[in-house]
Amino acid sequence: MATTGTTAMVAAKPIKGTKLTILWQPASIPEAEAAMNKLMDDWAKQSGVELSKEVSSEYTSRLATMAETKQGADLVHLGAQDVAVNESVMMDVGDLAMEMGTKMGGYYDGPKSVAVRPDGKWKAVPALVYGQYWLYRQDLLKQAGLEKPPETWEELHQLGKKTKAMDKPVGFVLGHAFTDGSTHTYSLMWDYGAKEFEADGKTLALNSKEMMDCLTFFQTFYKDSCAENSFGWDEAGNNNAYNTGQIVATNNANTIYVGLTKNNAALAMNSIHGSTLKGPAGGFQYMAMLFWGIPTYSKNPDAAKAFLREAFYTPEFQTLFTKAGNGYNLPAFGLLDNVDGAWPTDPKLASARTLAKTARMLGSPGPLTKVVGASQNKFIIIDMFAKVAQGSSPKDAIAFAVNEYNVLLKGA
Amino acid sequence: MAIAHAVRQSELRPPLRNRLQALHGRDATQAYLMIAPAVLLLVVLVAYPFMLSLWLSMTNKSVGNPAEFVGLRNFTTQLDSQIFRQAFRNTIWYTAVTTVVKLVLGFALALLLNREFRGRKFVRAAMLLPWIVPSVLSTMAWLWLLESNLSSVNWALKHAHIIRKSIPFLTDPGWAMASVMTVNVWRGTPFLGITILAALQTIPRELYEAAELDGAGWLARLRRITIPLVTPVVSIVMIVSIIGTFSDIQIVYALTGGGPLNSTQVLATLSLAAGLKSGLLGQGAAISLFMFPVMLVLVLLQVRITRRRMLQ
Repeated sequence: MATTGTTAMVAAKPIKGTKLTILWQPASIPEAEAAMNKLMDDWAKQSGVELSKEVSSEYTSRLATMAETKQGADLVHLGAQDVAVNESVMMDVGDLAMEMGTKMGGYYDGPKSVAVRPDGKWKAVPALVYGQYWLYRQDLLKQAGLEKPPETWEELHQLGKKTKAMDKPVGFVLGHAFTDGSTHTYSLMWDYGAKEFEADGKTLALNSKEMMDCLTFFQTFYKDSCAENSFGWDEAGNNNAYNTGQIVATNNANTIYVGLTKNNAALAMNSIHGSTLKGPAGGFQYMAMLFWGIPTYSKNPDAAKAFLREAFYTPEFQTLFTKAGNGYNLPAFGLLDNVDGAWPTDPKLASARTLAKTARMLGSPGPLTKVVGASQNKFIIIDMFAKVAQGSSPKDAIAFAVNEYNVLLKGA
Repeated sequence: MAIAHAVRQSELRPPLRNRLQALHGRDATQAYLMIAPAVLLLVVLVAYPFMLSLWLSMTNKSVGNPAEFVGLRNFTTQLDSQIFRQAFRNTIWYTAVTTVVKLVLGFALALLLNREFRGRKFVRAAMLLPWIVPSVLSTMAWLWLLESNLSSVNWALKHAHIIRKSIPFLTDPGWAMASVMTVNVWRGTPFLGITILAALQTIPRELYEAAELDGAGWLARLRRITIPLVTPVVSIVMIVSIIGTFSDIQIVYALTGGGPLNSTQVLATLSLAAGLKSGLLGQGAAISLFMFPVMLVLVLLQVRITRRRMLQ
């Protein structure tokens, strides 16, 4: 569908005789992946650049090896943590990033906070945000007396109270699930105004009134409303629970719903996406993100910049790419907010258009540092919530997290 | 004439000592040449990575940045971490329990397979399947069996009216560790079984026949003949098994990711999270090296026991 015909992009200036290697992460949505592949092929043809595409199943290790040996691809995809881990071997791409930002209607705060490093330099250009959606069972909403999905955590609490009594609790992921566990816990933390660090990224801020309030609420919420087997859930745990009708709601990429439209039309019809939940301090969500980086050892940074400028960051391609993603990959900027052709036609995916605006990244309101990244890899925040769910006092759970962050800070 | 010939011969021959030295030199050179590839492989694949990780563990090395010497800081800071201490305890517990269970089951399996019965060859081949299948693949199958929402084991037990409520295989900390251990035992037992079986088959039948004539029962034959004669092989297999289990990452990583609440976190998974995923290579190396002294002591102990047994 989106991949047929000529890829829409501005005409590439010929830079024949040079080579460009792109290490990229193919999208999980086949149509979006095909669109990216075609974009690279078409741009190579137009520009005359000999383009090699590389993928890696061990992406983080591959980047680490490249950083240590100072050789490898000329242009790379970076996850949010990859930006922090590899920042010393990434070029300052401030000029390009700001130019593209202006062209694309301005970056959203979440992705921008990762791309701009603590020293103010742009070490990456935001590429996309992976949308995270709250998904609800409509029949259970009705049985609980709700006409529309909850908009606040407290409304979700009240909904879960009623549906847990019907053996259909809320699926709040507390297992060592990197994305889904983070989405549930960090989002609730931010919505209560709690945070890991102050804006300087160095001063630990876990032990706060806001965190106490958050965990106190969570303890009650978990007991009253949540599935009690979610400690063992991996990334697929909440998907399985929803697909088999065991829970009333969960937060996930839109893959649960999109999968249902193909495999279980009745449950898909009976499902609805809600908006980002709000707490006392607002409504934010952890969402995974993707960036472009140009390594300092790149042999052809000019071609890398030309590809981004002439091909990837064009309104035409972004419209096509976002449409192909069907709400899974969302633009990291606002240009397409009012471009109807970029968004899913399915009304149940309508929230895709505004979702990325609420995206936040680890370390918020400070930068995503290596310490912050390591804390996610050690699941410290998820385990802090899990401890509270298992009956530890919020004070003890915070003390656990503070101690673990201090160990990371001392070792950094 | 004969005497003159002998004298001439002795004059022609170099002194015995010189001849021995020449012989020894030639043999020694040959020996060194023959073991050179193995030594080279050991240096490149074992010694160099080990020395490198030792060096990294004493630096603040992170991906893409130069390393600065920090002494033992990476080790001492870990001791303050509750997650690290739990991972260390888990690693010891995980290794100890699974090794003992694998040994007992492996021995029992070997004794059974050492008997004559129909289809023995098929059973022997089938027994190796858990060990042959890639562990990530087999662990994924176990994940489906034990999964929190859709565990087919729970489904079967419920439909057989054995349980009414699902067993929290991967949800409860205690059950999660038991599940991880079960998968490790399931996977590792065939290796021990087949190796012990090979050792059993080297024991001469005459020994058992003589013991039977002397009136020794099954247990006495097991204690006096079988166990002493397979002990050297078992000791070596145990070393391999302990090292493999101590550094096992795949089963825990694929089944629980170290959760819930770090109840199955082991040093190998923690080292991966801190080192490679977070780019803090110094810290990751330090965590993995905490395993080294324990393993060294175990290996030395095993070698000593084996030598003593062999001398006896």
